[in-house]
Amino acid sequence: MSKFKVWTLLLLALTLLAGYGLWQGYNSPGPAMSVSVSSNGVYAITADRDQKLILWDLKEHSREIISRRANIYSAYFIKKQPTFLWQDLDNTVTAQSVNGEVQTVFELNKPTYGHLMTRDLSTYYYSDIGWGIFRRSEDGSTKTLKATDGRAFLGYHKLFNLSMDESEQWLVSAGSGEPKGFEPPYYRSLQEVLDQGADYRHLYSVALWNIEAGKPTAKLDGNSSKTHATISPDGQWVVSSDEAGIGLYWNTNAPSVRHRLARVYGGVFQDNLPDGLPDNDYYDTSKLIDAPPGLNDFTIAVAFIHNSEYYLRFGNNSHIAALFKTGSPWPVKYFDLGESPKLVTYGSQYSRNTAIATSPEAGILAMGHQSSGGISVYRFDPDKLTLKRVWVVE
Amino acid sequence: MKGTWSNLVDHLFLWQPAVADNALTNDSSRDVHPLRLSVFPSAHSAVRKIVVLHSRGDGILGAGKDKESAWWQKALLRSSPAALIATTASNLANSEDAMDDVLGYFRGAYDKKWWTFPSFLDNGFGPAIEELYKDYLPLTFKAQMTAYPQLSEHVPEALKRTVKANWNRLEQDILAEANALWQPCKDCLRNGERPPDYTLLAPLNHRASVSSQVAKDYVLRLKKLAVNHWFPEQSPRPALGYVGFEELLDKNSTGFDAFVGRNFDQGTFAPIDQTKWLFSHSGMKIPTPELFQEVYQREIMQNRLLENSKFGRY
Repeated sequence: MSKFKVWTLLLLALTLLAGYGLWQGYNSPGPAMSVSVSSNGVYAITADRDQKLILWDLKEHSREIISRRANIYSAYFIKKQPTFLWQDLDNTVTAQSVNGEVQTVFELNKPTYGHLMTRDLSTYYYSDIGWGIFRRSEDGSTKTLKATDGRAFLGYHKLFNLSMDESEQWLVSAGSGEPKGFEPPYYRSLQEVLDQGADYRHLYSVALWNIEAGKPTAKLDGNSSKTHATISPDGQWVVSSDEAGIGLYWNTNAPSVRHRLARVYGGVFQDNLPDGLPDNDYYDTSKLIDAPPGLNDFTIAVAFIHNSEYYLRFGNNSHIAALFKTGSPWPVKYFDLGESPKLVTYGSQYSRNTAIATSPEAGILAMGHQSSGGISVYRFDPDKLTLKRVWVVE
Repeated sequence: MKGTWSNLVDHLFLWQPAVADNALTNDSSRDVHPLRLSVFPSAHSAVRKIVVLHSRGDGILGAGKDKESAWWQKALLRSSPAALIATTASNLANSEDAMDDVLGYFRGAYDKKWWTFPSFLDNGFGPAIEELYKDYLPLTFKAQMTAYPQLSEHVPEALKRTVKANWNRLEQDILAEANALWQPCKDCLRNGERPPDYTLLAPLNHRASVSSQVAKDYVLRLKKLAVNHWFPEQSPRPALGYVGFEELLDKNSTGFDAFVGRNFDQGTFAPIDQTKWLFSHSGMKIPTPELFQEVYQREIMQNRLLENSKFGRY
């Protein structure tokens, strides 16, 4: 073979290799920023850091790139519908079904930092960079439920998390826990928050909103710093956890009564005890189960995994999730989610808590990875109380 | 330990504190520093609320950046909101980052400042312990061992006597200094003046005054350290400004501390994890408009100082 031919072949091989590399890069997902699972547990939609919007078929183990120009915080599956919601970089919001049929399209005047839509696709709720909450009706009119406040997202390093119950009666918002005051009642009332800023501009803590009235009905206090909260599908429970490791829950029928979740190693903190007792006396450890090493109370996210009965709490820098049952402060079981690939729970990624998503109806958990693309998918068995990793895409 | 000196200050903000992660605990027995310089058991009682801002991106205090952080800077040209995050993050870092990084690779400043004995004195650039107590040497048998390794098992009686006598003299002088300055220190504090500095007790100069009990304890620890050839027995705690409180809530860790958890639950301590956003020790020094508005103005001034104290009001 002549020298010329060898060089030609080599060049061809190199070109093919480079092309393959580029093709891989073009098609491979970046780290997921927002993830959402369809209610039936068959699909997941992810928006990743390099702005790809990917629809994953969790049964067939296949994926389809829907867009390469998606808002990284806009992947959302509409509850009980085979329809997902997303926004492109020109702020166009689209609700489209998994078979590609576009159901609704409209222009928004800003990028969304978290959004959701009612089942009938008529009403759209979204947050923005300033932690506002807005409601867009079918006729295109927009109402401000919570006023935007500067660029709060940049100050708190997380989104203003929104969740809605299945009856679409309640909305829960969670930003950052209000610092506890020095004197009782320690926290501002809803009216005081309103007095200090029109349209509840300063309502950063966990709040329960009556969707129909478009107003908050309860301010759920007690969290500290970056806080995540969610509402149970049946609308009965709100659970919250934060970066100080404070876990709380409320029954929506009695939102003024706050309940504490146990610290996994420490127990349940007893409020209203006098000062000066030994530190351990402040904690009830009576029903603590043995906790493996590697858990962390400092929480990135909480998510319902089986209807309104069980939910998971994900600690920072940990790959072990704690299972809790609603109405009880005690952890029920711990699940090892797997060390590799490292999950999004590593590296204090509070601004990526939207990359952890569940379908409580189907018992499916899908979550992004720390610095690589792809997702890890888990299935919960409510009878055996197991959580198994069923699919990993790296 | 609440008392006369409790709750003097409403808010304390510790920004990337270069102290041990358990520095705020109330139990001095948790102090692993050879001279008990790393835990401040009464500090919490002077303050009503403590906010600790920490970041694993701080190369001065810990092992340096995690590989995650680099993408923020790489993604500069992308559009919103990813681009916004990236630009802000990049703005947070400033020109001193390079120096921070160089030091960070050696986890330099924090360890040197607090743990590498004896060079912890005077930020690692001052007199070593032998320098400080040069009039009292030898305080150990080490010199003899180095000069005559073959005699390492044998210590001459004369040297033993000298070392013993040196320790007695040092101990007496240290106690004498503590006693002599006790009243002047108290007087200065009462009159609002700066108390005099200690000489032999220089490592304890961060305290306003040193009681004879504390001085005795100091001598005891100094002796233990000498026996160990000036090497600390316990490994250092990681920096609070680096790891935050994470290791203190894990019962499996040696640092487990119910006191810290209780302060979170009571709302007196609050951690702010800035790992994803703060890449260098000096990253907060020159605030960007975003940082100024969203953190300094809103979270610190509006939500904490103005909301919960009479800050700035007469």
